[in-house]
Amino acid sequence: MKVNDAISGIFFILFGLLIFYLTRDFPILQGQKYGAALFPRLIGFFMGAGGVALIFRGVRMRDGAPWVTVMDWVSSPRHLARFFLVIFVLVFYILVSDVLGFIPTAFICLFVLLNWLRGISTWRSSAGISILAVIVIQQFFGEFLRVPLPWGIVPIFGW
Amino acid sequence: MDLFIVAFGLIFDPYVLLVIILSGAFGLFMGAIPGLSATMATALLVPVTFFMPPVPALASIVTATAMAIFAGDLPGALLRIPGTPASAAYTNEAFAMTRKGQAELVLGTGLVSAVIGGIFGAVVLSFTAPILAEFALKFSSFEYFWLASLGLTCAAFISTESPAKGLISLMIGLLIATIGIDVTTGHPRFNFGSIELMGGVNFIPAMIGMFAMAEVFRSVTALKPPPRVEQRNIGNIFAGLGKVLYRYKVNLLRGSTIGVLVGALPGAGSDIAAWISYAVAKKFSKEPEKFGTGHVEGIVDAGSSNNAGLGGTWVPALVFGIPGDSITAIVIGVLYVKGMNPGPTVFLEQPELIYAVFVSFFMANVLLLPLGLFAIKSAKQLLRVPREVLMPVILMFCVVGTFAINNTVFGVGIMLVLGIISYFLEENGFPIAPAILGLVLGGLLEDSFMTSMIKADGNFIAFFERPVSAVLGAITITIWLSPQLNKVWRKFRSPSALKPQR
Repeated sequence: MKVNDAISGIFFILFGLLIFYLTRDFPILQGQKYGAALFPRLIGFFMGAGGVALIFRGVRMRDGAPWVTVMDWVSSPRHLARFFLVIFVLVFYILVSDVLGFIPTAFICLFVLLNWLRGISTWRSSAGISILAVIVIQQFFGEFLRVPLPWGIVPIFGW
Repeated sequence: MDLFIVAFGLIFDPYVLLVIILSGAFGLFMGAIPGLSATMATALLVPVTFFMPPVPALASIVTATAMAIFAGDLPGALLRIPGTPASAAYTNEAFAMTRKGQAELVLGTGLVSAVIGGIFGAVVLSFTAPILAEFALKFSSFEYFWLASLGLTCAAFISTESPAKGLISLMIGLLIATIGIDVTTGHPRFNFGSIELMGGVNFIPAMIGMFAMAEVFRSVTALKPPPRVEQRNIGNIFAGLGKVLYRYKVNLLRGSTIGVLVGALPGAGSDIAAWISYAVAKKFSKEPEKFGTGHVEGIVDAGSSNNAGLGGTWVPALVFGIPGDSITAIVIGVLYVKGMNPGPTVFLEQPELIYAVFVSFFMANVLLLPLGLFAIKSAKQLLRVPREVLMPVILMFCVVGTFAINNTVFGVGIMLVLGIISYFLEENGFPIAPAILGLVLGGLLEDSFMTSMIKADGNFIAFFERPVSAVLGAITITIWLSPQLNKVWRKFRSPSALKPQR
């Protein structure tokens, strides 16, 4: 989604105000007039100031263009699905990797993504690439760098 | 000099050398694939360097970036798509030369001028950084506050279509840096009850999200497939090269000098160095009319400039702990992770480490010649790696890389969220580099600001009482006000100039 700068500007002004609201009960330093809220509030202030500048810029440069334009890929269902599939795959990994283990989870993620991006007819080579990538990543991070990747349902083994 | 010998010993270790060669190959690959930049190569390397001692960790980043900046020329010359932003300045020129059947000459010129520029940058870095560090030892929290502000200001204002967007991006980075326990009061901020957020947002997942995830989103939603390289074999790249380099020897020196200087400016890196050098080359050329038609002169300037700029960006990073561009911002983050506080004290406490960085710069640029030659010869195959295969694998690599930092999937969540945010920011014209600089420098900026405020008892005048801090402060504030001053100046000169420009 591409929005006119004026809309981004309003968004960041509101965001700056939100920072002020969230920092309302931060403690102050003893013997001083300020504390933990000072720095975030300065950030909120500058963010709002940038927002004001963007509103001017957006209105000046609009020139009849729509306030909001959807990116061109949104109208292609295939590409829209790709965008959400990437998010979905990551959420899936976050939720199940601990239970299922790295090797099966990573394989499912890769296999689904590869099939979706390259087309279902390539499933054989996609499966091969997924298996190869999982083995390489597991060996490199899990064995060589000793990252404790979860084993899950797979019995623990080492090469 | 003794330190150089010690540093040589640190680098010429079989393990370190192996790391350097592998990182070099990795860098060439990343640079040669359009969309995968030197910054992304660094971002993906960081989780791996996390497990290495400081010397190989730094050497691998130095090598990978030097290789990636050169490799960006390959798709520039063969496909008319810059592999990294640093090659964008002369992509059209390089492609025009390929069209004329001079692919060998343009790639050879790019390679050798990159090597010369890189070595020049390494020399300047090795000689100026220690001198500057001695000066920087006298700095107090006031100077550090202004230095950090100056660095961040330049990052936000240089090379963005609108300073307001740079400013907002910077503020987003600074805001993310405030998440977690506040050091001065011990109060948790913006963690919304999450225990994991109480420790703050780890910079490695954040950076992988901002640079790598955002690119994955861009790539999977790209409607047009990337163009295929023509079936064409690359011949001898050294034929006729000596004549070109001899003829444009002044350009080599000029490009390298501009590269180092621009690189050393906080906020400007190799890509801006290349643009400026190319423009300068055209301005001072005896035959400016040939520029754009496949003329090698500008490529000598800009090709040496972007690699020299890489050395330049490390000067402020190592001396003050203020990064010159997004790559060194990541490096600063790595140094903190390794328990080193970048800044002048490193030169006193661990000088051998700093000199090891210098030596790895020389090593990387010497290695660039054989490895670069190899990459040119295999460019046809390199550029044929399908994006649909690469992106899922990179995604999985990002996941494991972020997991490896704290061994929790929490980092993967951070990566995803920041990846989505930065994708939308970039689509709307907000630059991402200021955000990553803000994230890395946020802690230092707030610390030095709060320390200074407490020292000065809330009196803001104290920020200008020391001579160096007064100068730094004045420069910073002038840059802040420059858009307004500019407007006033134009109004003063001609009242009509203020009309909206289309």
